[in-house]
Amino acid sequence: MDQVVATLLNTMSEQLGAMIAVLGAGIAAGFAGSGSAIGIAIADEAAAGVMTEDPGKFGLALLLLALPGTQGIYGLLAAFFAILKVGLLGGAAVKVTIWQGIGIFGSLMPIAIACYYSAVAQGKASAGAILLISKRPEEIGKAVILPAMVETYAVLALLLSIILMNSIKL
Amino acid sequence: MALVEMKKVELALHRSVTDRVIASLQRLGCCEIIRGGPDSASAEAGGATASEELKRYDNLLADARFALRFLETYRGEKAGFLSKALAEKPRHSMSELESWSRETDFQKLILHLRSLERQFVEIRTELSQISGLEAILRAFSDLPQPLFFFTTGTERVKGILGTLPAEQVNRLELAFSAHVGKEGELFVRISNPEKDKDAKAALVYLRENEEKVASICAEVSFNRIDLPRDLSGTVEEEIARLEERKELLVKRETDLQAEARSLSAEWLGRVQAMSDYWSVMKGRYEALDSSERTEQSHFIRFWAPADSLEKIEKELEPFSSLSEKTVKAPEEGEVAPSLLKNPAWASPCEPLTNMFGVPTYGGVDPTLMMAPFFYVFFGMCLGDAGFGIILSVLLGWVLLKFPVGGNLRKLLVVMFICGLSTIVMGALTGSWLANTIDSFAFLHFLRPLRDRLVVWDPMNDPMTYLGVCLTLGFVQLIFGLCIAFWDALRRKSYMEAFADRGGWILLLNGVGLLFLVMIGRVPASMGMLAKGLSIAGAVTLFLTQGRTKKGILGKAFSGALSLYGITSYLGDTLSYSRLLALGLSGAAIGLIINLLAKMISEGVPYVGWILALILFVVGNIFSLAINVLGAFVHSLRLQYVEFFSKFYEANGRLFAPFCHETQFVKIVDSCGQQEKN
Repeated sequence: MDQVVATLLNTMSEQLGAMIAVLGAGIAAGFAGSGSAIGIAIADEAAAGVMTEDPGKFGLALLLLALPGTQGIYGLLAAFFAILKVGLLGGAAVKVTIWQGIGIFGSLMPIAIACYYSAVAQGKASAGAILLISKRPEEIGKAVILPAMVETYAVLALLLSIILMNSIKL
Repeated sequence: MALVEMKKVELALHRSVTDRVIASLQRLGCCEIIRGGPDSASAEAGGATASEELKRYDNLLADARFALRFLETYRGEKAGFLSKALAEKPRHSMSELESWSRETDFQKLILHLRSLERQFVEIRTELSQISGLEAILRAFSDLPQPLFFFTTGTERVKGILGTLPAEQVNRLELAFSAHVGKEGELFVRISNPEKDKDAKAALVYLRENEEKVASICAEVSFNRIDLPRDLSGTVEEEIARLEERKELLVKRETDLQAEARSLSAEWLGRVQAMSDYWSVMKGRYEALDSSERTEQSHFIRFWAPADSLEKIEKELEPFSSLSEKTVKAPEEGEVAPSLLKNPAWASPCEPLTNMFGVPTYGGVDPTLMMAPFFYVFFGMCLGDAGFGIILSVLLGWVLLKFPVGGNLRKLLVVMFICGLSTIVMGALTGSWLANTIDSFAFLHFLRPLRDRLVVWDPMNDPMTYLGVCLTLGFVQLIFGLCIAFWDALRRKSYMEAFADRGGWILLLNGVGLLFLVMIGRVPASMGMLAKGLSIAGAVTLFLTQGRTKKGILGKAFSGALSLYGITSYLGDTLSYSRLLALGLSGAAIGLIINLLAKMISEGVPYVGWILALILFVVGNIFSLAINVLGAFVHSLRLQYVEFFSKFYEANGRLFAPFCHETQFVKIVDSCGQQEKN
């Protein structure tokens, strides 16, 4: 029994840190990606509606559809950074303590949370913008800016995630 | 500032020269006609020629639109959106177009096209009728009787075809044999007994039994199918005949399509040119129609840039004996149109300014102030020298190769300059397609060259670069306030200049300096100055911001509350951190692409390098597309939201010159700015 506990404690101190970071990476990429998927789907519905009237709006609609897609990329990005940091993508082996692992997990939370919600919200904004260009395609410039206002907060979250991760010294 | 000074010109013309003068003005393309609309008296007085002409051109244009839509459908080669947008427009002179319009029998073409269209519709209708009929006939494919029983009938015998619910079949058979019996024939068929809910039935009977049959039919909910009267043979014969007819129609349609295609090849260009000519003429008569007139004269008013007055003067010289011109400055309460004028390096950004809103006439045109920030910010957001090279080479090629004009060209030039800026910013941060130089051993020899250019390394030291971004942002915000300060001085509203803008400029600079002292970037001896500036600014704001309020308490309260506005400046400054974040995200995507490419090239035997190359190319194209979109949108947002909000008033109306506005062709004998897209 003691031996089992000893092995457990041993592997914990060896690997748990990195694995907590992996958990964080998974959550970040998963939530950000889900948010983008939902956001794009919301905008998709508007685009499909607009295209039943005028299929020629496809190009403009696609531009606006793509906007809530960036959150998913930010999530993937932060996840990659995290597993790169704990040495799971090759390179020199890195020793990550449990506490550092928790730190990395925490640093991924801004991206996981803000990207999910901002992508959904941006999807709604994009849908609105798509309706705008259905009536006034010449206003595409303004239409692109509106959803971009929402994205600001995903960008800020990405920034904080990267800074936090960078500040955890291994 | 960078808005062109406008003059209002009032031109009185004798009727005899009106047409020629208005044609000249249109050719010059530098006047915006003021459309007053004729009052009813002058409309009667001036004769209705302009309105009549207007109507005529409206009708021609309606026909032309129909012809274009028709011919466009049968156009031989389908042009893509890009090649359409970038293609060179054919050049024609006005006189050439005029003679075309005079000599071409356009009405004949329109009649021909309309008859073609009608034939297409007829053929399509008949085809769909035939296929409907065929479907019915096929359902009765083994009907023993020829069809004339069911369509015309004979002298004594008649038949009906129809459907009835499958469960009623037994009742029908019983009733028919009971009431009609041997004097008729019943044919019932259920083609798919398990699925079909309806049975097909054919009843043949003597005319004298017609009433009996009708009551039987009503009982079993028989649903009668009527066939066209010209069907007489057996079902098979009729189907064969229909097939034959269908073949004939399809062939006829193909022939007509070929004819339409050849018509399109022959006429499309010509009709496009004429449609443009007519819309130019329509514009001309619209201008005339909306001007005031008396029996002998026309009175045209228009805005013109002050620097083109000389040109107009010269153009109108031949008519000077029959016209009279007065030039005025815009009067109080009149809003002149805004025409932006900027140096060549900044003018491509004009569409970006106008997209936000057209500058108020007499106000500030922010294009010049925005352009350098926009270029630099875009460079920082994209932040990769490799992408910069791709972008600028691609756009440089497009600009050289395709003679695009108007706003599209300006936008392409903006992107080209942004590409150059991206090269610089990428080189300063050491990003050449992310870390490609480090990733692949055969590129390692480029390292020293790259390292010599690097000033910041945002990947490994993001805090320093964040500082750079925020500093730039702070500089832009203060710059915006300074413009507002200067603008207020110019308008001689000193209180606004010194109290509203000056107070903030002092306070923000003081606080900024204080921050630098705190983090030790500036010697502590500056601390006193920083505090002094801050206090001076804060006191100014406190004392002045409540000046419109009544009572000492109200004033003090508003003054104190205004200081809370510093949070919005803080937020604005922090917003510039997106420059770092977007730059990093581009670099990080590149990093991941390189990492994967390297893993594949080392991990997969033999073909690994090919897969890696494909991944590298596709990945970078994807990354370029998504990052260019992001960089453009976010650097524009920084201008719109953070910068413009400090000083810019966009209540203007864009100068819309009366010119040769065309869609398909370029009219060559006009000078001035007719190149509107």
